[in-house]
Amino acid sequence: MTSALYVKPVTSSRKILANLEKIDRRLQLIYCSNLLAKVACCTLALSAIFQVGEIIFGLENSSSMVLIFGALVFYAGLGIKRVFEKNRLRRAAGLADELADLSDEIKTAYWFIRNPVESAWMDLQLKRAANSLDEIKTREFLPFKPSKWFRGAFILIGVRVLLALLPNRAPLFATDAEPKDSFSDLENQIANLESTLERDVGEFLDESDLENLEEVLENLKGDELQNEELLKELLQAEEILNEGSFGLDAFNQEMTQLSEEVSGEELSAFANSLGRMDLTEAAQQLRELSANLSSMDPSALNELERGLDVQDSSEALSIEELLDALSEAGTALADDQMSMAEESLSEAATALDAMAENQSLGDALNDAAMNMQSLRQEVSQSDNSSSMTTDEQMEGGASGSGSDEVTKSSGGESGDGSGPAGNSTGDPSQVAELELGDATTLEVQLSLEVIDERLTQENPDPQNLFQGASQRQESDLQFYEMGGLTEYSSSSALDVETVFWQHRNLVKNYFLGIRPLRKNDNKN
Amino acid sequence: MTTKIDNQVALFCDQFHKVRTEIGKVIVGNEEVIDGTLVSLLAKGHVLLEGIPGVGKTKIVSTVADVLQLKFSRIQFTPDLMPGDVVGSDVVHETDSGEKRLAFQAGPIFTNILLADEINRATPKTQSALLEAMQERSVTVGVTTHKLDPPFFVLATQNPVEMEGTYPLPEAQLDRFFYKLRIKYPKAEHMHEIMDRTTTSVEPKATTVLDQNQILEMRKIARNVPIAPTIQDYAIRLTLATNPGNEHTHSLTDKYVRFGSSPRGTQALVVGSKVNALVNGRVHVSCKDIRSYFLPAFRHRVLLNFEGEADRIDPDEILTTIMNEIPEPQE
Repeated sequence: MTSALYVKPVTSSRKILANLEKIDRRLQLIYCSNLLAKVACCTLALSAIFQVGEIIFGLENSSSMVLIFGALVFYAGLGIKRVFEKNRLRRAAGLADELADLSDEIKTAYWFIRNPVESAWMDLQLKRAANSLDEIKTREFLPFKPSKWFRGAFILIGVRVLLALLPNRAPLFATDAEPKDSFSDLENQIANLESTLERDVGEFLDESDLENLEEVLENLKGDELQNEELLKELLQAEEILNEGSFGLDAFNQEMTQLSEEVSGEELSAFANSLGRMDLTEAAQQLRELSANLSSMDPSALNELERGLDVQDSSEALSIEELLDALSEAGTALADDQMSMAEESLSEAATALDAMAENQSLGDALNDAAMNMQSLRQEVSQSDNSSSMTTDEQMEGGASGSGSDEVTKSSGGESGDGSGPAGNSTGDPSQVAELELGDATTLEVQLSLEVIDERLTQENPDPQNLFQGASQRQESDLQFYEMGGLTEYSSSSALDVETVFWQHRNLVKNYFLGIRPLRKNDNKN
Repeated sequence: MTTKIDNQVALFCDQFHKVRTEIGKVIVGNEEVIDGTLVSLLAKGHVLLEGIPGVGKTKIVSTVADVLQLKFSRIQFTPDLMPGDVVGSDVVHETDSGEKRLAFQAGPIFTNILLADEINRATPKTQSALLEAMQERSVTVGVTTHKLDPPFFVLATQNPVEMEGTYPLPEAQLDRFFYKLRIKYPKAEHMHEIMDRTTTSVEPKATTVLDQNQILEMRKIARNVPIAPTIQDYAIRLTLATNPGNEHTHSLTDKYVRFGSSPRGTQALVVGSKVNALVNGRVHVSCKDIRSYFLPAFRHRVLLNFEGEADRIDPDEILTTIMNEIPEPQE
């Protein structure tokens, strides 16, 4: 063919490329949506697993966001890689061939487009390929069906919503984490107590107790504290704090007594507040009373004077100040010195404010004492249960060492002498304090292993008995059904076996052994 | 120009199917053998037909000859057949004037379609007399080379049973055959049809539909079909997989094959695929075409080693495994 005759079929090539790009776009859409569905499904599944872990085991769910972000980055990465991948049109050509059953027509055409040669046959091929591609309805051949993974993703979204709607979000199996929580509680308590001690606690704890308590707290903060030492320190802290709380009880009693002694209509609200131990409110009421003093009529003032006449029997300094101030106010009212009475009432209110602050401090110490007590009990119980477990394990070892019946005794006693002693290194006094409870009995029945037939012999040889298990065998006999040598009608005349199968390997090995080796013959 | 080629392709397709239909009037079933024979004829190849006696090997060949308006000769190969009986010889010829001269008496090989019946019964010497004719399309007797009239198409048959007293074709001779086609035993429904056609007084007859020039034109057209290098690469990978000792070699080849297919096998695969593409109305070769004639083109070119023969391995098993395991180019 001369080049003058040759007219390059640009339109066919363009048509093919345009159609391939269309198919490629469709492919990208399907691929990206499928990828999105898969990534979403996997991410939601992992996220749901984390959420279930949070509900069941109390695991932290902070990694969910990291997971989702990672999945998004992964998705974006894969998507970008796919979009900017080379040879996308070649892949589209291959897919078009496959889907429309075009017998490599488009692949060949695409190759001819990329490597153009002046040939009428190739032009014809391109023309035909362009027509074939035109007939392909991309939407029919590549229908956009939502991936099944989307279904999974929606189900997982539902699961997540259900999990989020669960009313009780407390960990279901939190018992495993209790020891750790006890110790974190202890740390919290120590921190609270230290912050309380930074305030003026001289009212409740003397200097030596304060020093002791601080020392105990320092000890409790130590990492390598054994349970026994921990118990001891907690007990000491509790005792010190209880001493302080006794002072608070005495203070409360005095305040109650004062509320009963104060009388009169004008002072009834004040007395009530004192009775409820609401000292802040009581101080406020005294201030109001002081402010209203000048506007009160004489009878009311007389009544107030009588009401303020309380006995000063308290030894506590703060109570004494309050009582003094109230007495001075009463005296001033009796002398018609209103300004002095107002001043005294204000002093009494200030004393009450100071007492309210001390009261909160006392409450804090009291709470700390109670918390220390509960912590001590928890540590004591955990120590008790671990001690029990150790004992059980040791008793189990004893039963496995040959005795038919094993009785478990508490503490450091051994089984019955036949097995190793359980917990023999334990301190008896401590064990008694831990209160292990009643002893438990375990019974183990071992059955004899029977080897039949051999035992019926009069003098069984131990060697034979030992090897007896391998004497019983099973064997399979392989056989092949041999047909007639010349079954003409079965069209298998070409496959007739002249050497029986059972001899074939023998014959083959014989000839393999004697043959002369030639090129490309296997040597084994 | 493309319209002209389009017409040529359409004509090729039409003529092929006409021949196919005419042969089908006589031969029942065996479509693969008939197609393979015609493809081989149009690809300038020769065919070796293998089958047990009585399945219609000779009938297929004679029917093909009937359908094509070509000269047809038949040689029944026997152990005492001599090369001269095939190619011809110089004989003393007396002219009208009484002068005696040596004149070449052409043998039955000087034909268009040659049926070499039971070729494995002749001695290697006689078999090799066909070598030059099959490859060079010429015969040399003495010092004179005689060109054979195109198209020259050898259809040889051989019987795989009763091997006593036979001379299996040497490798060089086998390689000259474009395809080796196996005639299977007919199915039950085909047997009924065969009985109906051959046991009555009216015997079906095929009419001639193609002449010599048409066949030569079709041969020319077939060679023009373009093949993409990716498809050609697939054919080459298949070929290399049958050859031991290269990076593409299949594991079964390494175990059982002494020699794999030669490049002539790949040529047969590609040219046959081109014809097959045209037969299917296409102007490009596909992997499907390559696969269609992979077994006929390669089964006689794969020579088993001792272990392969001892294990009674059929080359078709190896080739089928190779074909299934070597992936087609996807893009």
